[in-house]
Amino acid sequence: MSLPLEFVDKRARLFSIAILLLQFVPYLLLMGGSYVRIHDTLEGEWVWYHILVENGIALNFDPDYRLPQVMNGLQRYAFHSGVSLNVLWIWMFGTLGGYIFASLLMHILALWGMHRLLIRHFIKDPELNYIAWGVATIFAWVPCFVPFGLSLAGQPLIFSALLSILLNKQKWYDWAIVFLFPFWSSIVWAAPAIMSLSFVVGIFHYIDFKFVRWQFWGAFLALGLIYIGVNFNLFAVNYLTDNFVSHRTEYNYFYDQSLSVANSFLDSFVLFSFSHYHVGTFVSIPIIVAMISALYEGDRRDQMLLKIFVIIVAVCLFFGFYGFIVYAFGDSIPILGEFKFNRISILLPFLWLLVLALALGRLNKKRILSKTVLAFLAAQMVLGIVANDEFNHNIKQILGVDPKPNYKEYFAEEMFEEISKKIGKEKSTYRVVSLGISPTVALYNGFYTLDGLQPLYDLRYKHKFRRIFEGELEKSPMLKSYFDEWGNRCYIFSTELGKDDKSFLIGKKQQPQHINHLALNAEAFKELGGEYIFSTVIIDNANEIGITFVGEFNHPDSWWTVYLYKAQSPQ
Amino acid sequence: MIVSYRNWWKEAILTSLFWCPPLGLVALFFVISGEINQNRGNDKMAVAFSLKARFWLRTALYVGLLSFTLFGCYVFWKGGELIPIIGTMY
Repeated sequence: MSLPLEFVDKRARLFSIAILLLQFVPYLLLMGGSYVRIHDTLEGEWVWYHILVENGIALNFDPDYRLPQVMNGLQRYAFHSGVSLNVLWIWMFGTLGGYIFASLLMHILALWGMHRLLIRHFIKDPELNYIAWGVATIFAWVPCFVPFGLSLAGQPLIFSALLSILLNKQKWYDWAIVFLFPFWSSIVWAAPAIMSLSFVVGIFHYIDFKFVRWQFWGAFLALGLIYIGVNFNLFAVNYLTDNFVSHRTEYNYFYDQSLSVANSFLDSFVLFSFSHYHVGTFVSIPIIVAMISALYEGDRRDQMLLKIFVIIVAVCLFFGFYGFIVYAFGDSIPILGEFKFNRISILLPFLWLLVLALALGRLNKKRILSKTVLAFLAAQMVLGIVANDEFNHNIKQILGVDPKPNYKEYFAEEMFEEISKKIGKEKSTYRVVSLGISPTVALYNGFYTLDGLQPLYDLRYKHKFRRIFEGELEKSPMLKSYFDEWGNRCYIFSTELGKDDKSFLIGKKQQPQHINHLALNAEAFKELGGEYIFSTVIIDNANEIGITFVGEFNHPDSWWTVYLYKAQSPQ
Repeated sequence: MIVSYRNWWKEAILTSLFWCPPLGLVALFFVISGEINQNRGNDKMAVAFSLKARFWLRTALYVGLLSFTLFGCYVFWKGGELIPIIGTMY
């Protein structure tokens, strides 16, 4: 005897919500001791929003305004748009509270949006509603970068709205979603992906039905224009400001990769299997098995399933072979190398889960294999939960075995307050750089930094900054290429520390604790206004390079031991 | 219910090669046994072996899924030590 549909649906919904909320239990337990993703988040994007709010310049639209706290006056327009809901969350709930709130809201919208999309457009049979809830729950666990807003988590929501408009089933809120989406998603990550897929869907629709739905193309155009409007500052600083030359003009797309067919296939394969950490680590192998099982018997021409799978393969190949496009056309169209359109790979988790939903819908109809549906859902859900890096680290934080710092340890506010007192001057009167620790830690604590992780800054500044440590760059072709041909991390590098993420995360227990031969040009440092160096390693040749050890700072709540150095005054 | 003989060659080979080799090989053994009996005209035994092959294939699907999930959990828990590609985040 089968259970009533309403009963199953209600149970599935409650189960989905409970599993979704499980993700946020560690934040409640740990609060400031929670792990928050460091890569591109605490090390960059989320702190940029924090800086905009702290300095009260989120809504500053003066094209000439420069923010003195960052890189001796970085153009305000080179920062993220302040017309972002992320700014609102930080303003309302603080930096950590805003992050947790944003993350919670994003994942709730991911669950709701995916379920809504599936039942409206892909799995219309009410008996399969439990599959829609299961797949939506898996999607809501895909780790996504909170600073990018709904770029990943909101994809079902925006596609549900666009499809409804395309099929003339739209409600007022579908238009509202289209108009509001750019205010909480990234023009870099979401816009190319969503616009490309919408374009493909619109073309498929035209081929199938032989008529143009103008409302859909109107929504498509509106989405693009609103993205440009919201991020007007980026266009203005790049194309309308005379006195700004982006450091990206010296980008070399191939600084960290060689152009080869074998490598391109390998990149495509890895993306196909695991997605990419920037777009949400995601294991696709169980889904492939589910798809093969679903297509194995009966009608193998499931058009929708195969179309989506072909799009996935195309996205993976485009990602892998994008280098060839840049190689062929990059000189005549520089934006190809600067913008990296292969970021449309952010669509993959969403597309894979559409495939899973459609495959399970088919499997459910097969007598022999129908019982495997729950097994596939469970396997993918468990993998998704463990692959969620923040949840993974937070469980390790609770168990006390996490190899990375939590939020409180990372920013070590009390220790930096002690450093500020030791220096004893108004923070705006001197400049600092960091070594072995991300400069965003100093920025977050209110210091004025010469260094920074910035996606856009002035090329002339980069050249001046380079002089400070060009001796180190000469020692290592790898570092030289990393800084000269990319340079978003405008940091003081040391060949002894390297350039990977661990090089800026050298805490009390990490190695090395000393560097012996830092080639630092103290004069160039002072010319830029530099006075202090926050180093997490002892610089053995400090006196030889014209800097003096001032003191060692430590705190029980700090991940770091900071050694404070000061540039020596002329004799 | 009348159960007819069915050949599970392709499923057994795919399972043995790509999904769960130990149980895929067990299924393959029953597929071969079924084929031999079918060729000898022993239909009753052929159907019995065919059902056993189906049972082991289905078991292989579940066990493969479970093993893969557990292995995946281990990989993500250990993080970059095992897969440098995803190591940045773990």
